[in-house]
Order: sequence, then C-alpha cells, then structure tokens
Amino acid sequence: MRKIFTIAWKDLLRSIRSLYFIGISLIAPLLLSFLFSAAFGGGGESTAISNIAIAFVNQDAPPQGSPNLGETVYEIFHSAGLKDLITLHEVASEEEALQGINEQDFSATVIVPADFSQVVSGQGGTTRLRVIYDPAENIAPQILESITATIANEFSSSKIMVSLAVEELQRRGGQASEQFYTDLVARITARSESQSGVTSPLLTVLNPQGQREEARDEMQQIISIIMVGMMIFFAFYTGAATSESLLQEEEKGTLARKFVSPTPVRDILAGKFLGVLITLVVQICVLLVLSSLVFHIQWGEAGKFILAVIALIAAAAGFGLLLMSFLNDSRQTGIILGGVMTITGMVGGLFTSTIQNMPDFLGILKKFTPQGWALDLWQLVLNGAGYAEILFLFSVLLCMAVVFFIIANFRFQRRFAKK
Amino acid sequence: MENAVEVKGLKKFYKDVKAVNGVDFTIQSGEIFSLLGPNGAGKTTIINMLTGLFPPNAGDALIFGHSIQKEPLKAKALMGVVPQEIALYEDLSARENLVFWGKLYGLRGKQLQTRVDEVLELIGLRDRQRQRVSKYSGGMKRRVNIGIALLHLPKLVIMDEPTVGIDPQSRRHILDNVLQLNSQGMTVLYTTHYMEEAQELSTRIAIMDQGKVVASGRHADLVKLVGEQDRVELTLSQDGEKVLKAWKKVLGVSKIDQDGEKITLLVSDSNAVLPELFKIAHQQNARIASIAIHEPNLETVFLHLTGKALRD
Amino acid sequence: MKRIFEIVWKDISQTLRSPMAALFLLALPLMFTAFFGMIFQGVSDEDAALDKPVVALVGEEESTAILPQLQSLLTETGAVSVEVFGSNEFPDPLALFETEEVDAVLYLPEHFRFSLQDLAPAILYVDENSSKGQTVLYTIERVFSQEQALYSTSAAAVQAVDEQLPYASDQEYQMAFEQVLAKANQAWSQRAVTVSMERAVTATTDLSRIESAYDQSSPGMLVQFTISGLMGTAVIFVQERRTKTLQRMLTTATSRSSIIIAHALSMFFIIVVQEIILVLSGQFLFGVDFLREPFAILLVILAFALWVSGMGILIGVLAKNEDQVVLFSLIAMFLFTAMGGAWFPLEGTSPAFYDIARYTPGAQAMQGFQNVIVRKQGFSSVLEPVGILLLYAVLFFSAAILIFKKNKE
Repeated sequence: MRKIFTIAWKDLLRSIRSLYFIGISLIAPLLLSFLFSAAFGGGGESTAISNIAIAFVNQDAPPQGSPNLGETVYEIFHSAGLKDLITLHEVASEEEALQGINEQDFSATVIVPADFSQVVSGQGGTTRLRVIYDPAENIAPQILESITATIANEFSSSKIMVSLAVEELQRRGGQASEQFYTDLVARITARSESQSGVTSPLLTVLNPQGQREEARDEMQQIISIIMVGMMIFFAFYTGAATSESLLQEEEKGTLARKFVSPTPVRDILAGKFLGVLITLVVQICVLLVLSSLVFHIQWGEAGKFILAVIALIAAAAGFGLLLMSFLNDSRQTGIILGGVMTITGMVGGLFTSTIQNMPDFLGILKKFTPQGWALDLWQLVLNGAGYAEILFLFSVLLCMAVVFFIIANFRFQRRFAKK
Repeated sequence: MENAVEVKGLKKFYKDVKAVNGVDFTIQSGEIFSLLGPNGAGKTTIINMLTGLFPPNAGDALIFGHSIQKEPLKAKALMGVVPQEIALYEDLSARENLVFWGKLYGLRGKQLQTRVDEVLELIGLRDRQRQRVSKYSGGMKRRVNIGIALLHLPKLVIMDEPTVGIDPQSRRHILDNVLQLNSQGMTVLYTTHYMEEAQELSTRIAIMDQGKVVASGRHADLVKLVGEQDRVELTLSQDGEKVLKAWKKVLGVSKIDQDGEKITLLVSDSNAVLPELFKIAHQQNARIASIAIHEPNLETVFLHLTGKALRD
Repeated sequence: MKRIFEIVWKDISQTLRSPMAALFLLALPLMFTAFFGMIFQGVSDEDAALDKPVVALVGEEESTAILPQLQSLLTETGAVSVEVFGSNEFPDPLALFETEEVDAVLYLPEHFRFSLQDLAPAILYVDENSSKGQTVLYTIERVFSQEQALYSTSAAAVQAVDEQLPYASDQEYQMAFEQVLAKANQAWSQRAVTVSMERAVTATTDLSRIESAYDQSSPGMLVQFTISGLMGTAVIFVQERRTKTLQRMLTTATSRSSIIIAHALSMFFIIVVQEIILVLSGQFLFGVDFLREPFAILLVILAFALWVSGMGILIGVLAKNEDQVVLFSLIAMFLFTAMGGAWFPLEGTSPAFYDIARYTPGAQAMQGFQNVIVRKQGFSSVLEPVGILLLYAVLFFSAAILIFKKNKE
C-alpha cells in the first residue's frame, strides 16, 4: 500500500512541476472562464449587453391637423427605460439607414411608414412598422422585434378601444363628443402607464412538483453551464494527459526500473492509476473553488455536488487510462488528446450546452460518451434535481469508470507480462 | 561458498528467433562475473529475465536461493540493477530520485535519508543533490543511475553495459566503482562487449554468442583454449576473395574471419605463417595494407570458438 | 532563396506524413462544421414545430367557459398543442404529469378572468429549465398579456360609455362588456399595426437563395480550426530544436532569417490550402455561399493565413517541447475563437468586452467572411478586416523574429 502511494505522490509532484500540466488543467479553463466572465459582465452583477445602435426613419405623413404619431414612436424608443439598451439615431431616409447598416454603424433600422398616423387615428386599414436588421446579428433583432411589437400592439389596442367605445355608445343611442374622445385618450394613457413593465399578475408559475422556483439570474445560469462544460472537457483532457505518463515512463525506462524493484506489477499500476485520480482531484478542487469565488456560481446542495465531483473524477481518470492502454507509444497521444477528446467532448454536448432545442438524434449520440453523461449529471445538480435522478446518473458514470479501469488494467497487465 | 546466482536451462524465444537458447551458469557470492559477447548475443535478454522484466520460456534462475519464477519479489529485493539506458526522472532532483527509488526498495524514514546521503557522497553529487537531473551532464546522470541501484545495499549488483557511449574518464570512474563495490563484498554481474573491461574486472567470464554460452571460466583458463595461437589482423588494398581462399589452405592457419576490410586470422605461429601469407598475396597481386599481431586474449578465444570476431 | 524553398518543401513533406496534422487540419474542422450546422438546423422553426410541447388545460367549473377560447388562442400561436381536461377528472392537476404525456399543466381556478383585479391567478406547472418549458412559458405569458390588454381595453371602452351614458344595471353593464370583449378579440386578428422583420440586403443580392444554417457555423469553425491546426504545424520547429537538426541547419550557410521565413512560408502554404478546402467544403457540402465573391474570400483567406502563420512561428520559438506547442495552440485557439465571436455572438457581450474583442484577429476574419456570406456585401467590404489582419501579422512576425534571433540554439 505504501508503495502505491509513493508512486502516486511522485506522479502528482511531477505533474505540478510541469508547465504543460498547469497550463492545460488550470490556466486554460480559468483563462476561458475569465474570458466568459468579462464577456458577460462578471456573473451575478449587471450583465448589460452592448448598446444597440438603431437608425430611426420617420416617414409618417399625417393628415392635416392630425398629430404625427411617428414622433410618438420615436419618443417611446428614446425613453428613459430603453436608453441603456438602445442608442437612437434619427436619419432622413431608408437608403441612408441601409448604408449605415452595411457599414456596421447601425444594428438595425426602424421605419415608420407614411400612412402610420392615418391608419392609427383613422377608420380601418392596416400598416406595418418595418424593422430592417443586420443579418449577421442575432440578439439585436430579437430585442428589437420584441420592443417594436409591444409598441405596435399598444397602438393597435388603443385604436380598438376607441372604435369599440364609439360603436357601443352609438349602439345605445349616444353621440361621441369631444369630451368623450378626451376621456378615451386619458384612459388610454392611464392604461399604458399601469401596464408598462408588468408581467402578468394573473399567472403563477410553479415547477411540476408544485413548488416555486427561485428566481435565477439567466446570465448566471449560462455562465454556470459553460463553466461546467469546460470543467468536464479539461478534466477528461487532464485524465488522458496524466495517464500518458505510463507510456512515457515505458519509453524512458523508469517503468522497467519499477518492474525490477521488489514491487508487484499490480501495485505499480495501482500507483499510476491513483496518481491520475489524485491529480484530477487537485485540478477539480482548484477549479471549483476559484469559479465559486470569482463567478459566484452556486453549485447547489453539498451532497449532490460531491457525488457529481466523484463521478466526474472517476470517469475522467478511467477514460484516460483506457485510451492510453490502446496506444503503442507516446507519439500517438497527440491524436488522442487533441482529436478524440475534442470529438467526444463535442458529441457529448460540452460546446453546445447552452443551445436549446437540440435535434433528438444528437441527444441520443451524446449518451455514447462519458462526457455526455457527466454533463447531464452536473446540469441536474445545478438545477437542484432530486437525489433519485442524480444517483442514477452517478451510478452510470461510476459503472463506466469501473469498466474503463478494469479494461485498462487488463490491457496494461497483459502488455507488461507478455514480453 | 554460497552461490549468488544459479542459472539453469534458461530459454527465451521471440517467434522464430532464439534469443536465449538454453543457458546455464553459476555466479559465486563475492565475485565479479562478466557476460561477454557481441550485440545480439543474448546478454541483455538474460539480464531482463533475471530481473523479472520478461518471463523465460523455459528454465529458471535462483538469486541467493530464491527462484525468479516462484519468488520474484524476494529475488528482486536482493538485486540492484543498473540499466543500460539512463532511467531517471529528469524533472526531479537527484535526491528526490534517490528517495523515491529507495522507498520502492523498502527503505523508510531515517534509514532512507541516511542511505541517500551515503550514496550521494559515493557518487560525488552531494553538492548538487537538489538540482534537477535535467540540468546534469551525461556523466552525472550515469552516476545517479548507478547510485539508485546501490541504495538498498543489494547483495547482487547487475550492470548491463554501463559504459556504452561514454567518455574514457567516466568509463574509468565506473570501472573503479565496480571494483570498489566488489571489495565491499557485493557480487557483481556485468555485461559488456568490451573485452578489456571483462579482462580487467572479472573473476570469471562467460562468453556468449547467438543465445548460448560458448565458454566460461577464468581469463587464464579461457585463453588456454586457444593454446599459443596468435591473432593476426590485417587489411588488403583490394578485394581479396581469392587470397583468402588460398590462405585457408596454409598450414598453421586455423580460422579466418572477414569484417569489411578487416581480416582476422588465428595462426599457430605467426613467425612461421606470415611469410607464406605475404607470398600468396604477392602471387595474387594483392597488397597487404596493414598488419597487427596480438597474443592470445579473449578476442582470440571468441574467434576460435565462434569463427567470428568480437565486434563492436 | 533556394535554401528557403528546400526548407519549405521539407516542412510540408513532414506535415503531410503526420496523422495529427491530417486530423487537425481537415478531419476535425469538417466534423465540427457538420455537427454545428446540424444543431443550428435543429433549432430552426421548422424542426421545432414537429415537436411541440403539450399543455394540459384544466379548469374549475365556473372557469370552463373560458377554456375553449384559451385553447383556441394558444393553438393559434402554433407554438404549443393543447388538451383540455375537466377538474372533476383530475382534482389534482399534478397527477396529469404522471398519467398523460404533457409538458405543462395550466390550471384555471374558479371564476378565473383576465382582469387586473385581485382574483385568484391561474397556475402554470412547468419545468422552466427545459427548452419545451421555456416555450410553454413564453407562449402562455404572451397570450395572457394579450388577453389582459384586450380585457382592459374592453373594460376601459365600456367604462367610458358608462360615464357618458350610464347602464341601467350591473347585469346590462356586464352583458355589454362581454359583447365588447368578444368584438375586441375579433378585431385583434385584423389589428391596425403589425411589425415586419426584414434582413438588410443590397440591391444585387440574390434573394432566391435560401439562408443556410451553416452560414454561422462554417466561418466560425474555419477560424477555430485554422488556429488549432497549429498543433500540427508549429511542432516542426520544436522538433528541429529537440533533435538538434536546427543547430545543424545553423552550421550551414543558412541565415536565421532564412530559416524563420522558410518555416513561416510552409505554415502559410499549408494554412491557405486548409482554408481553401474548408471554404470549398462549406460551399459544396454545406451550402454556404462563399463563392459569391471569390476574390474577396481569397483576400480574407490569405490575410488570415498570414496572421495565423505569424502566430505559429511565435509559438514555435517560444515552446520548448511538443506538449507546450499543444498547450499554446489550444490556448490561442480558445482565446481568439471566443473573442472572435465564433462561439457566442459578440453583440451579446458587455460593452467593454465588445469594444476590445471586435478588433481581435479572429473577429476581423469572421467579419470579413460574414460580410460576404451573411451580409451579401462586395469586395470592398473585406478591405478593412484584411488591413487589420495584415497589421497583426506584422506584429506577430516581428515578435517571433526578435525572440528567435535572441535564442541561443
């Protein structure tokens, strides 16, 4: 037993002194995490995105004596509530706006058509607010669509209110006086103000267990899941990179030297395997502590979180050892580390964890990789799932790890015995 | 006297190649025993079997009475091995290397630290013990390589061609170390293809070729096998196939071996045979470009027994 | 000059023999492009529509009148499908999750109305963390907001009439309100103001071409794997140093500058070929319209390759062994790919990050490609990104040469 720990400790010491190991197991994932943190505002704090530059074109030509409702639309876009999100630029024409988009000065343009006031304040007819957007952008168009649709709906419902009120009054034999219209406008204004920013109070949302979900910062969730994806990727990478020492020692002769010492082969292998495990423990602990401190990631309940850590470490170590057991020498490890890890990480969903509505077959393919199972387990932990679900995935991963270890051990024992 | 090593019928095959084809020898406790032979003779394969790296296909060996097949761990505990290639952790210091390997040989605590200090002193690296091995010269690395084998005070030290590819000064240092260890009571099994080393160091020598021991014994006894035969080495200025054919028929020439330009002959009396050799060469219009005459030694013995020169 | 080309040819031969080079230069980028393209296609409306979430609608007795209307409104959105159940069938709405295949349950309590008055709210039981759950939540909130708006519109209209001409009784008032509400719902389908979303295109754009889901993934993967391909190419430099062949080269009449130029040239050539293969694959296998402006694309390819080879040389002179080449290449790949907008859109990042990241080489390459593929712009649109890439190339090459000349080999 002592010799097993002696070998494992020596491997850990060598790993810690290796710039390559420090780089790949700690610097790379932390660098990326800082990058994401800087990109998304540090997590847990303001996650304001860049201001969206919009060109506003008011082509509205109201009938004589009627107010220019296009200017009202402009005022809404220019209001205090949207100032942090949108930078508005008034331009004279659609052509000028399009040129600005092509030169990437604007993300989009909002065009109020010429018949806007006429349709809104007149009888019947329909009109469209046009939003022309930079096709290379994804977020700005979505935000703009939402804001513009809200504005359009407000005008539409106000017009419906006026026409229905007049119709009802006339049905009851009354006449729509100026006072009546003034009263209607006041009601429209009061209604808009009371409804702005209010999400439906008529809807309570509970989870399928009948409990209220805690309000969570969406961006924090995204950062958490990205961090998990990277942690899993680099854990598996480290597992393989550390296991490579078996091949390197075989080439350098230090493995043979161990074999000629009074140390059973099983102890030597056990020591190497333990070295991989301990190295992973160090890596994961450092990553988890730093990510909690820097990105304020809430890892959830301690018991569930520890299960996920154990499963990840075991699976990563086992997978790495398994892969190395199939190689002849260390010159082939580049392909394993770079190629196989990247491919299995990709198929396992580590790079696409934030994307919704994945095709079904990809969800199935994911199950063929240990990384896919690890990601599912960590997502359950982050989402506060129950122990039953978590224990199931934990057991699957642990079984995988055991199978990997058994196969790796069998192959290495055979390799070293058959000479 | 106790036998340190008893090798009985050891065999090792690789597909069609018989790397070791039934080898028997005994090493007595306290002696320096050399395995001498050219590359590919099977010396390293025997070492690898004795040290437990490969299992033999047949036969067994006892290390101070412990079978390498049935009691491998006990056998290994009594051996210290100096491999041919340097096997060290370059990113650890000399001290760290020694401590690690000492632990694998069962040393602990104060005993381990004391032995590490002693070995560092012995190999002359006490002042640089904390420096990483990657910063050492080749000679220094070799010293650490040897030091590891001595940590646990083994009864048997096995050195597999430890002087290959090193400078004369380092080689001398190693040879002196071997003699010193032996003087302290260690049994040494030493493999080499350098005849001079085997001659200088060994109590007894086993000559190997093509997986077999072709002769073994003390240096003086081995030389007697070739009697008073001299070894003549010469080169011809052009292709001498016809010349060699004619020389084979000369009385007194017992063996001829050609390796490139170098031709080696075993002759009973060089004074008598040489004039005949020159005459035949002259008749064949061949010119002898260089010639050297050696008194009987292990090279002569090897040539006599195998028909080949002991080449580098 | 001849010596330079000898070294270039030697480097290329070594690279072509390396399975790792083949993996990073070609196999992985093609696989990733296909993979991400499949994902982005999968999130299109068409595919999502085939797998709509199912919402169970359950109402207490007095609310059952509103159920058909709500079912109709939700179904019309096209985002969800709805099944109606009575509360007598399922006294416990949560039981529906076990007995039926539903993704959410919307429970309407007794006397539920879309009024802003203090009444018992509807309860939506849903897993907000799933993608289907999010769709359900968004759809129901939208319909509820819409109905609330129409409710309050109708209420305001009837109130205004009541002020002018009071109703005889509460019952008459209520009847009038119901009628106005029904008319408001009808009028909504023909509402006055709608929104149209249009992509900005130039006058010469071929509108018949359907946008490819790979338009996003192809250039992003090209950028990512061109950089990561350095693992297979920059390693030659390191191997030369380790095997002492570099030192041997320096004993010949070959200057340090020639050696570095030669290595850079070989990397440049390999990267250009890699990019061309990926562009052609994108064009013919994944339907990305790279070749609508071939010279513009070629210019971006060349400028990007120049920068990447500059970085490759820098990695080669800095790394001490093959492991460090892999490490530095991976870090460079992650850094410049993430900051280049290949993984997430830069527009969604914080202002400070955006201002810095958009001028990084990866982002400039992405912009060059996207200007042609997505924005459908012409040759002049790539000139600015190309200029910036060339500046970066000069910077990286200068640093590499400086370090190489100082190194003692």
